[in-house]
Amino acid sequence: MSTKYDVVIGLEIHAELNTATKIFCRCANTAGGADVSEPNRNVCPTCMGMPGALPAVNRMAVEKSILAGMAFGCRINDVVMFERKHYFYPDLPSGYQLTQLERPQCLGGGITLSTGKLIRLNRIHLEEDAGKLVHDEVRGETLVDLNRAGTPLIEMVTEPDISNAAEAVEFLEEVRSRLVYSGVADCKMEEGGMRCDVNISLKPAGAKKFGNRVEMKNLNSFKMVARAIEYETKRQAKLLDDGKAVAVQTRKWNDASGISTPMRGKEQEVDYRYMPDPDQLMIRITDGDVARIKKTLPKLAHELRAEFVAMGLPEYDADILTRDKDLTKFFINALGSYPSAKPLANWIMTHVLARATNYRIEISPVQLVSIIQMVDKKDISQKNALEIIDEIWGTEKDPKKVAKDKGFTNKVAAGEIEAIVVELMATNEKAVADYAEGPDKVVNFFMGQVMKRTGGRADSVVVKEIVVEKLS
Amino acid sequence: MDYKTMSVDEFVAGIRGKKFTAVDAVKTFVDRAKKDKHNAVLEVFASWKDQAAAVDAKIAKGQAVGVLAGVPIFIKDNVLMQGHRASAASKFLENFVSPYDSTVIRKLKEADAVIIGRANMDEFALGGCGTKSAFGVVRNAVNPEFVAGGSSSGSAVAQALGYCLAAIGTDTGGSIRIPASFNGVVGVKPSYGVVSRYGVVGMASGLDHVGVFANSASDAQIMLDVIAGRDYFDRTSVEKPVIKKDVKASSLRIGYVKNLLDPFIAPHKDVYEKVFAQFEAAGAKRKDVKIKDVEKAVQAYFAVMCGQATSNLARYTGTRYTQSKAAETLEELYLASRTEFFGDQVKTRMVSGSISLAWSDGHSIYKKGLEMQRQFTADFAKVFEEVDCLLLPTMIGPAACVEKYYARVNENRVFLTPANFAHVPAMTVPCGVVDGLPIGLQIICKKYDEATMFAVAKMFEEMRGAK
Repeated sequence: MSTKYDVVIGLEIHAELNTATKIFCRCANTAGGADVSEPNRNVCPTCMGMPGALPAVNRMAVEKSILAGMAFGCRINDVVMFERKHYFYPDLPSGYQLTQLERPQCLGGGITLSTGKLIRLNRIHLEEDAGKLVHDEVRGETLVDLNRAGTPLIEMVTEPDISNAAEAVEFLEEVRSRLVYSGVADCKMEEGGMRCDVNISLKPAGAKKFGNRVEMKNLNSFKMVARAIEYETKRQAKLLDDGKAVAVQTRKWNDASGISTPMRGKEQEVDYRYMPDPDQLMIRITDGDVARIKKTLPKLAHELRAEFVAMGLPEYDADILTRDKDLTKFFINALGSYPSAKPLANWIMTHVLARATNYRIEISPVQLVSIIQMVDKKDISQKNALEIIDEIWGTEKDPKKVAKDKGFTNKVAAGEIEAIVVELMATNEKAVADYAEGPDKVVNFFMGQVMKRTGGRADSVVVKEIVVEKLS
Repeated sequence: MDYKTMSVDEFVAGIRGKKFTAVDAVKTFVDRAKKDKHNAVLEVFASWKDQAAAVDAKIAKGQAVGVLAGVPIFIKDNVLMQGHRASAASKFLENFVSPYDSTVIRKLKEADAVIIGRANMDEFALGGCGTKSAFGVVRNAVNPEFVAGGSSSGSAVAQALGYCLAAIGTDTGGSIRIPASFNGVVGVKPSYGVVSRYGVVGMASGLDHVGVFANSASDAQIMLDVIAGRDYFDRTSVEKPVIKKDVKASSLRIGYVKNLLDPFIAPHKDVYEKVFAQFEAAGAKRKDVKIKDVEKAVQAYFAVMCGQATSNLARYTGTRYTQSKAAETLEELYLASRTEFFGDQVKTRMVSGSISLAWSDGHSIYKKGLEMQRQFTADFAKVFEEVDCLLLPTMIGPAACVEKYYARVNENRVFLTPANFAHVPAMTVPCGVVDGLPIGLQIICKKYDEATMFAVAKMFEEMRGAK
């Protein structure tokens, strides 16, 4: 793109909090792992918007929204207060959404990108999710499923600090990482656990005044966000080049066709008739509450990355090991019983991750450490080790038992082999002296002697390793 | 035996002492209710007999029974009871069967009361006249040609005509006190939050109060004691305040609200003057007080009430509760259903409410109304630094025909809505008869001082020579 225009981008990100129960009732939360095998399974008068039903705010949802704010360095509001936002839609059972307008739970904060650029957050507020409509094409009916109604959501709104698709994607990846590592959200985009709207406008390079803003919706992956920004930047630049105005509107991204289409214009903007929810009272958040919640904030990926580097890991390794929360947890757990960071990192990066899809590691740290220790003690060979990992993957099998069953350790122990080799070397000085001239011949001689002495029960690979090590 | 003139305590003692069975006694109330000619009753629950029989069975087995054992109760049609219809007297909810119990019903059941039916009301509790039910006008208990008052019209008439020993109502701007005074019964609106609103169809959430009708202040006191208390499901509910205490007339400071009563030229002013004279004769000190900005408060109240009602009514769209108009598009479905199933009064209030809530640059009339509510509440609380209670007419005069009622509706609001706006307790006690019709004395106390309010009411009942 030419440098004729500055691109101004702001993001609105929704993430579902993974509390056990919904935000205003005691129904199981879809984003917290509730059983959603059938529609309207987790519903009650409150999340169905029944006459007479009232909201009873879930303290955990409030605390998780505060934790999220802490992960981005936000100021925490000293009250909890919800407003009603009115609009009619069948998936919104009470005719209004409970959200926060005037008193968002968290204010300010932000993320510094790898380039050193700060992307500021305006706010993070807490609200309830709506249900889902299910269209039955066969019967020509639309049905309402309220399992998701009342799922706690946080909405993060950035300042218009982002200038291009790459910055947007880096920002979103870091947001996801912090929400996941802080334990408040799982951010599964494919399941709608994290959603993103983009506000984008262009202005002549260096100009103070912002151009007309377009909001882009229906962006279900980071890739779509990038594509939509690139498309919209070009579209708006073309309009401005042609001397036309950019209409203030909301546009829908169609990923298949790679274009955006208008959804509604400014004149169709609705008055949501916001009002404080009269069904609940304000709750005060004290300094003591904030201090207590802060103590429960786990270390975030960027902090762990720094710790791993301080431990002696190369930046590359530290980076890989902090790309996924479960992976990081696996590494830290394994490190507890196997405190050699670099060899452990090698095992995980080369052998464990090679077998995992989407970071789903299907062996335990205990199992892995047990295997590595067998290799270190030369009880089994490296090749045996990989065979064991394949064998126990997805099971709770004991690697030691597998090694024994497979006959890897039925063989003579490494220590015993070593003793035999030392003894043979002492009684065969000539052969030792010949090593430099014909190493293969000498190695074969000693191996043959060891196999003879052990009745063939020694692992030839292990024997060879030891013989070579002792001779050279 | 005439059960309907018994006090709650006498009735419960009779059942506990096996002088009569709950089934037999309650049947006499049910029989009267079934013959209702005032349109006060929407439904007599078939379950009344099982409920009453369960109480008798407990007693037969020697088990403990609650303080309302066998007491027959009518509920306003906006109070939800599991497995029973609750329509809020609206076409919208005509076929709605509640899947859950309101907290009030749960507490009444725990006290072994017998809930015998649901009483007519003004649709969604919007109205003060008793003429705005989708299921017909409710007629005054004393003169069927006159209005019953609303919105808890049916509950008050059922109470007055002996269909029950106590009734449940709701009061958002006088909806218990108006019909209680028009039909000559006791009506209590406690402080905001004293009774849980969970399971009561919301009208204006921040002004809605659940309360009771009874034949006497002490019966009302027993009822309130049962249904009051903090509720997990209603986060605006509070711990039960002290409901009963002894108050001596000689230590009582009674407030005469000068700026309300002086300009009010009532033909019945002498009735209230006599009330003050009786209290003073008993040793109470009369003090003139002023309620600051009361007219402005009434206007602000109206903006807040309509705004909240409009919001609470947003859930009725035609996509649920079986009532729906066929339409091509979703918007048409909403429009057609809401046009068809809401009554005129509800629509009028929603127009006002939508204007109140209209949001522009962070401002709305509604928001201003809330600010005024905070200010008024603070100002009103100061009045109670000088007096223990305010004594006021409940309504300017007795029940009348519809036209006459509406002619004075704005004047009456000044007496009724301050207690809702400021969340303080208020009750009405019959205090005399004018032109053959009952009128009521309103007692207003400071927030959570239900105990003084009941003590004053009982004191007055004794002065008046009532039971």
